[in-house]
Amino acid sequence: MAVDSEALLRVSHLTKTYPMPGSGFKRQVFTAVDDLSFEIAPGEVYGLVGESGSGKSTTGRLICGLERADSGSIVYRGHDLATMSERERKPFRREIQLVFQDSSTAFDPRNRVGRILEEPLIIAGVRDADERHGRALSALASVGLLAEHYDRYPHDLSGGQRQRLNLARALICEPRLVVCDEPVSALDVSVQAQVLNLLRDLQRTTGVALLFITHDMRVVRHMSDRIGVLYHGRLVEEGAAEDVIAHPSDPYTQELIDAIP
Amino acid sequence: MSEHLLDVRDLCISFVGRDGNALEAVNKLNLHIDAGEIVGVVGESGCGKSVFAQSAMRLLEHEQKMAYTGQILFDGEDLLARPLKRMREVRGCDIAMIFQDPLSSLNPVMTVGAQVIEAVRAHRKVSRREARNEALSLLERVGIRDAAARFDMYPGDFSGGMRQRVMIAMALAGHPRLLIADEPTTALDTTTQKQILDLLRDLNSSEGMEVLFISHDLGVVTSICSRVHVMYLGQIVEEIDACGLMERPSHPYAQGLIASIPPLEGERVDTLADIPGTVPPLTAIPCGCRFAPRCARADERCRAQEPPLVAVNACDRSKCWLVEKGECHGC
Repeated sequence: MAVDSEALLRVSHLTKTYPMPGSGFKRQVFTAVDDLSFEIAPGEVYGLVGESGSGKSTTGRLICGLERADSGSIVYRGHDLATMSERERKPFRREIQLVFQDSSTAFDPRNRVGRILEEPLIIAGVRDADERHGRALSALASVGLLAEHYDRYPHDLSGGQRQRLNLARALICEPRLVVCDEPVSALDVSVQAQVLNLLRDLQRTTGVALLFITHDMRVVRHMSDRIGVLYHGRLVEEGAAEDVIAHPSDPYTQELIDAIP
Repeated sequence: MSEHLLDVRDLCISFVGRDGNALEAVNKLNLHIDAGEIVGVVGESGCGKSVFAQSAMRLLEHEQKMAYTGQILFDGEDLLARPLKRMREVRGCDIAMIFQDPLSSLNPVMTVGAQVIEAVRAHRKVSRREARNEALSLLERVGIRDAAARFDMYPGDFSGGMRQRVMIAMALAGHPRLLIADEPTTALDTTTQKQILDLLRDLNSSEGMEVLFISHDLGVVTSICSRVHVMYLGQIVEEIDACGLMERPSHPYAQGLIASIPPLEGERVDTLADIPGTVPPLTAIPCGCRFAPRCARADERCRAQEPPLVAVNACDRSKCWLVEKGECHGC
């Protein structure tokens, strides 16, 4: 998909540092995200790849507002999320959702599937219980789960089913952007293919934009329109997914591709 | 007498519950390792690959009642017939093992050097000084640069790849003839994974140490092993030369696994081929061919009768009724 003139999300010069453990008064800092800039167009799938510690998850958390940036801006449809107060940010939370890697810890274990799906709707102000119930059921159906799963607990579901639930929860409020942080890394290959196919279908039908964070070059190539390669918090390469993987221009990207067994 | 160092014959492994019910995790497994070989076992979670690996070291019986039939012959001796107390003589000396998560396998409050020294002295009566020198050379052997300076550091100061190198150094301390590597690179980045695989390959060829390599990752297994066993629900469904696994697997399950890997080159596909359904629990093992309920080609016979594992050609054995025998076209 071509980049729209109007970006959905424009990240510019984003920087996030953490104090180094044990550095005490010396105030040494670890720069997790270093002067990072990229854009996501409406309906685009943007893949962010890198190894552990490259800052890809931190970037996702910054965009979702789970962490505060040190400097830089995250402009979402004309509003800078990075400098907003919590109160100002609240209306945008519905529009940017997050899917985590580990589906066994992503849900409150005491809540049933129905409650898990309806909670975002309650927060979004859907008062009518029947409407919530109906939307939860159709969300279940849209990810290939059954109505009977409504009364189950997350631990009753398999890893693949839980990741489907994770997608259903992220999509139930009809967001414009979903940050997917390693959504299939914990799954077996055959189930991974099922979830990737589902995610791609849902993305096409709803037109939601995805920030797809992964360490897996195969998965990112399959899913993304464009990809950015992160190394030590910096974007070392960016371009159309197939081009970057077929003809990497940065030596680090080349190294990543060569290491694929 | 068996001419193979490790020769597993008709191995069945069951977990015995408190109520006496048994759950069979591994069914009629046959596997052997030829001299100097790296042999792979690959499968999805719950297929029994780790249960098999840990049973070869008899690690499960301490916490759990197990029932075994069949034999695990190591150098001609059946390890299952050995009293559990005498397994310590085998562990680390003849057979060593490394695990997926090196951080939880290392003691976090003991220096790396002390742990390697401990491993050295567990196997041979040597002085502290000798043990220290040997530990240093082991750490250097597994590619830890500046080993002397890092000797007194703690596992927490090491990166994931370095920790796995330490684990390998400890495994080498008893000069084992067989190394069982249970998902040794799963927790590592791909570039680090490549280094660890290179190291294992190097140890295999230079020390002649045979390796049983367990992984869920088909790419990793084909890159390091010479022969690969694909497991599904406790059974080996395909045994094939590693070079053939990616190109021409004959079992539908192996074919499905390979088709579901997103390609790195060529035209991008819209939908990946997936294997429908999920791996059933051990309490509900299908009759007939265990893969039949998820297999698109399954027919009446598949659902009723269990197929044997038969040779398809010179380098491929498959547990499927529908596979046609043919020539091996080589690699």
